[in-house]
Amino acid sequence: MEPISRHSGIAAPMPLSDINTDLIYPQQFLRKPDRTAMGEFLFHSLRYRPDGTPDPEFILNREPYDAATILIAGRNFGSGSSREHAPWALKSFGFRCLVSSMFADIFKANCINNGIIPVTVSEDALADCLAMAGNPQEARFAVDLEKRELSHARLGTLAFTINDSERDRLLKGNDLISDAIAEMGSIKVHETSVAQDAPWLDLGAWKA
Amino acid sequence: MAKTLYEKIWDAHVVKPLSDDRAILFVDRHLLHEGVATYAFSGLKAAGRVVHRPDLTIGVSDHVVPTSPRINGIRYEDEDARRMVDDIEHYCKEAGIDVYSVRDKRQGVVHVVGPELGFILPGALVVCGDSHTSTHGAFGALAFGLGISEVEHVLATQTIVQRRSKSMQVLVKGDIPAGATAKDLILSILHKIGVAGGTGHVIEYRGEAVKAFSMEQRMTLCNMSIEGGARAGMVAPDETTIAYLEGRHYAPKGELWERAKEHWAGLQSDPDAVFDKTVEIAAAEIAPYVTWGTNPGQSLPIVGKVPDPAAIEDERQRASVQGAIDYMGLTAGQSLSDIRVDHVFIGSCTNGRIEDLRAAAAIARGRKVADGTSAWVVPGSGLVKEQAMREGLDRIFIEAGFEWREPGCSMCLAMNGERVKPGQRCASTSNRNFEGRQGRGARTHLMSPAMAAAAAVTGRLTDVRELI
Ligand code: SF4
Repeated sequence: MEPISRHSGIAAPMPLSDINTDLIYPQQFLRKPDRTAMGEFLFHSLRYRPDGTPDPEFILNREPYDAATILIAGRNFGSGSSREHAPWALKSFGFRCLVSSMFADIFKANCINNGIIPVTVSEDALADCLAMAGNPQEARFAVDLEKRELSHARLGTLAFTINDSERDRLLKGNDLISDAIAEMGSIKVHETSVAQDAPWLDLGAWKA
Repeated sequence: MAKTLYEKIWDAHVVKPLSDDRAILFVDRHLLHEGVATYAFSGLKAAGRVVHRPDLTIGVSDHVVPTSPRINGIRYEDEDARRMVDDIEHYCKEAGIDVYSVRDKRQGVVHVVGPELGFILPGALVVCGDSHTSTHGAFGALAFGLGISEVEHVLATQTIVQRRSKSMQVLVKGDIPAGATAKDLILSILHKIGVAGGTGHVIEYRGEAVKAFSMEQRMTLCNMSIEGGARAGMVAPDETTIAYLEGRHYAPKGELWERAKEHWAGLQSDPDAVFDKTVEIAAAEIAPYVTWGTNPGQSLPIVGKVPDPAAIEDERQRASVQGAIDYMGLTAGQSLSDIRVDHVFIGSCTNGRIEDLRAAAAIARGRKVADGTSAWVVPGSGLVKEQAMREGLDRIFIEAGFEWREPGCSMCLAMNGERVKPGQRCASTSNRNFEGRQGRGARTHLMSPAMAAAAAVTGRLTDVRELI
């Protein structure tokens, strides 16, 4: 995963609350093999009309938002299905930062695993950002992960929250799996204690 | 210090504590389905890694598997679907993982198959690349869903990194009245707490009504914890849990079984344990529920009416209700029991188990599916199907005009191509009524199996109590 610390770009506003991952990446494209090409299907039912033509009203079909790299969305973004296709599609479209007042748990973890910054701000700050981004002339925002700051020419600098550990992972771009493999010694110690104290869980030892 | 059940299971699985209240946790049981296997194994291979504990994972095909008759071969939606099933079979075999795929009569929805095979045990830490992994909390396990990168992590290390959640108890007081079920209870809880009310929390369901539930009902309840945003849902193990597990394929036997039972007896929240949040529910008030909108919290008792957005003060709330009403093709103030349905879907990891089929068959018996309505019964697994056929439930459904199908996820997600057409309306026993969930433009109303059967025979959303 590539490290990310600062990002600036056009922010697209989607004020709707509770946008779920079915809406972000619908079921009919879940079988697509190439995760880097999923941007084409992002928000498919909102972005395209039933006849397959782009809906000119939808935010990501309008300039300058068709080149957006920051998404500002209503509370509880990414709820529902655990499909990692949702952050894959967001990233493939070009998004690097998501701004909301609350993210769903699994979705947030998936974002961090894909180098997308989840920027959590207060309800009031979210309302201001949504309103500002709605004006195509004022849609440029910048994110400084190191300082935990979201900034905008007219709104000034807003603090956002992200855990230290989540921030560090994004900044370093390090791979969780390698880190855990480095702990194989502790994992084996745990496995031995399971075999002794809870042997019914240790399937390999007794299940033919 | 007094601990909740969640804290006890968490503590027993810490391999290494990390900063920010996180830890590397050991995973006792991992369920894999074909919707994630292709991606996870290709990532694993690309990084040159191998499966650390193949004995602690089982593989199941369910999401893309067609549920039409399989006598003359399986007709997949497309080559990608076929490849996903081939992949899970191939990769599991290669790694030495037990796999239950389309040629195995035990195949079915991953969250039905796991418990049925005795793979899920009290006190275990259970994960799967699927949000409805919360189902398995019904056994007093700590069970939660993962993304695909995390599935790779589990395959490579048999561990997962998690941040400790807050704890929440949902205390269900009194008994659930006749005609209402675990599905109605969870829909009413979601109505009360909202779709983000459990975010950051692990829920423990407690109280007399929950104790009185069968394992099937507890699974229905825990299954939809994720619909409230919760990380997991759980019910402390008891006699009901033990009776369900005894003799199942992966359940311990003989002396191991005795030792396990002794250990499980201590698996409950201490009497003076403190929960971060408590929600109380009066069971007596639970009536048959249906959803009218586009998230599971937009639910009401069947005797209710579609809400009126004009009566809602909060602007964003009003817009969201109006949006749901428009998508669903309803009018404010309309009686829920006036809503006509085109389809009925009985199945899924929420309500595709034997008790669910019995409840639906009890309503279908001697009646006919209404003209203009089509109704499907999709058993949750091959074993559920076999059991139902032994009891003659298939005959009851077929005689009533239902389609009796092969096991799989089917119309719950429509990932296998079995979808509801745009603008059509489906009474469904599944767990998500999101826009487009059952197909683009499809309109979903969630309800219990008995309520879905009632909708099938009347052709409209119906209070099942009128038919019993
Ligand atoms: S039945 Fe539905 S919710 Fe359950 S695992 Fe399958 S697709 Fe997911």
